[in-house]
Amino acid sequence: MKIYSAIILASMKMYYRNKHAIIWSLVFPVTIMLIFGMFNFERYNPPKLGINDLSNNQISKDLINSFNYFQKEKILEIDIDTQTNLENKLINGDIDGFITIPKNFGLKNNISDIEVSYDKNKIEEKSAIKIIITNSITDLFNKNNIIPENYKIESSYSITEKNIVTNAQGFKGFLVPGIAAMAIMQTGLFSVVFTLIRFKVSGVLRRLNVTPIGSSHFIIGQMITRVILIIIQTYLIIMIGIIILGVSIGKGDPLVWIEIGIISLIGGLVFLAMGLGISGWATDENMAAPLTNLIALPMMFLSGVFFPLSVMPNWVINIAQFFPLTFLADSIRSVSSDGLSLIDIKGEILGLIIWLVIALLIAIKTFKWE
Amino acid sequence: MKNNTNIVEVKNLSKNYGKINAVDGISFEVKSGEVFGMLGPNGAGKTTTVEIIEGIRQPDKGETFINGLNTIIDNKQIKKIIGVQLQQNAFFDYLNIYEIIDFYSKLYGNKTNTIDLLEKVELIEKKNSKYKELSGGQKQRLSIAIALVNDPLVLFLDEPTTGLDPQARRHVWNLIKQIRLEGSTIIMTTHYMEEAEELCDRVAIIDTGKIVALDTPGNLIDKLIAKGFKPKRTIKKASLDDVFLDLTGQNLRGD
Repeated sequence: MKIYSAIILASMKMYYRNKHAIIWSLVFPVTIMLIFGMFNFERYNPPKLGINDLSNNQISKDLINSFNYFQKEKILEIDIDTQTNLENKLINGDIDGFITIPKNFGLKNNISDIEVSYDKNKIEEKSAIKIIITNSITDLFNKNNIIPENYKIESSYSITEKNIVTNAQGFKGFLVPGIAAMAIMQTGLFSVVFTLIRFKVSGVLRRLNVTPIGSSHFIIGQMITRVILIIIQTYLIIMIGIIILGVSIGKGDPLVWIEIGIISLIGGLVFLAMGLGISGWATDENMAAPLTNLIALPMMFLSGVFFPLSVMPNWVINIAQFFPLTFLADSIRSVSSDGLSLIDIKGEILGLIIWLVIALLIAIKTFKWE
Repeated sequence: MKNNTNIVEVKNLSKNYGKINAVDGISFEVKSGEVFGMLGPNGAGKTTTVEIIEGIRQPDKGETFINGLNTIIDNKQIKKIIGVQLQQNAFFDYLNIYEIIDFYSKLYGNKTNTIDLLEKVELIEKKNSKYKELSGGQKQRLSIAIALVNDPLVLFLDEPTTGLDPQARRHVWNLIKQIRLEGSTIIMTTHYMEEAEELCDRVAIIDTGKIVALDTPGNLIDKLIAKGFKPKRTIKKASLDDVFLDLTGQNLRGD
């Protein structure tokens, strides 16, 4: 135990002083996260408006038709559904807001109160929806010839706004967990592969083999250090996401931090085992670098780190859904942004554990230290 | 310091690399407290023999014992009682000299004081330097210090002065003499004859994996003269090495 604490302490010092490792595992992911977080890709997507038509008369159809016009112009997407379904869709972030058209809409002797529910977090979508609704309704009441003339006064209709707190965090809520997952991969692969190969090539491991602990305990100590660092680094990235990009985590439940820690631990072990396999197989950096990049680069872009897997062609989805980084990014995102628990993501966790077993078997098989 | 107990026993050791017999039936004993030298040209099998005794290489045939322990069976016990300086040394890039020695010391449960060791090998002023910032002689002295962290019964030095300038070489010699005075048993390899003559109580001369002679340096020279050997040129009372040291000074320079 004392020996392990000595190895871990020394490994921590070495890691902290190795500026390259810190740049790759922390500075690089955080920089990318902040740059992409500021782009806000969602602006290019039209807001999605849900409609619950309780009236179902000619006037409400006219109103929906005016929304259809906006949909054709690609400024709005509409989704007609029931109240309960729309509430759920809003909470899950599938729509940005919805309106409820009351019964006997636009008919005489009835004040038409239209209720609009928004996603509180999506300020831009909220103001876009508000402008479209206000204009459409004003227009309707001014021009529609079914509505009686004497009813076309402003006091005969009103708009009630309702703010709903949702789990949906938009692109930033998608990006931050993705970057945290990518950083776990970076640390697991790059910091292990190049450090261990340097130790192997220079003879550090050989020297350790003439001590009673041998090089294997030293390598285990190095791995424990990396796991600790990976968990700390994940927390740091998510905290930077909370502070600078304003994302919120796990509906405010503090238990989410423990869940994120557990997922980082499992995900970290998967990539550390892969890193160990590469450094055991390769005899020098020139052999290891192409293979490491060949593993890391496709995952970085195809595992749903920067954009959802669903935008990709089907054949890519069919392959990429089984990547370890896909499982890891989905897991962290599910607990941090979507507020799910570990039991809800047991499929992804199982996927990671299968990868861990595969990577460990390969690492044991390819090990050669001379 | 010397007594007659054999602390190291090597019995009929063989090791092949493909068709090459790197070690071909080597046997010898090393007495407690003695400095035992293994001489021979490059590729003679010195390092392979030493690494088998250290327990980091497996022999094809034969066995070795240190303090009565079998190197293969009691491998872990052996590693606790030996100190090793490998021919090619490498230590951690991101730790300073103090931290490196301290790290190795902890692996054996802190048997020695790191500051004392740094003073012994005269590296106390370099304690905050990195390994790569050291000169060749300092690197060798650091690796000897690390080999001493467990206060070993047997110290292995594999070509401790190869590639060093005369001043640095003498500095390492003085360190080895000091360690010997403290009673350690030392097994060293070298291909410098004057080094063996200066430091070793007995030497084994190895060629193509076999021991071709084993005796004290004095006896080996006497035997050669007894065979009627005549030197090709008259030996003067001083060597060019002595001239060099006289002109440039015995003291170390930035070393």
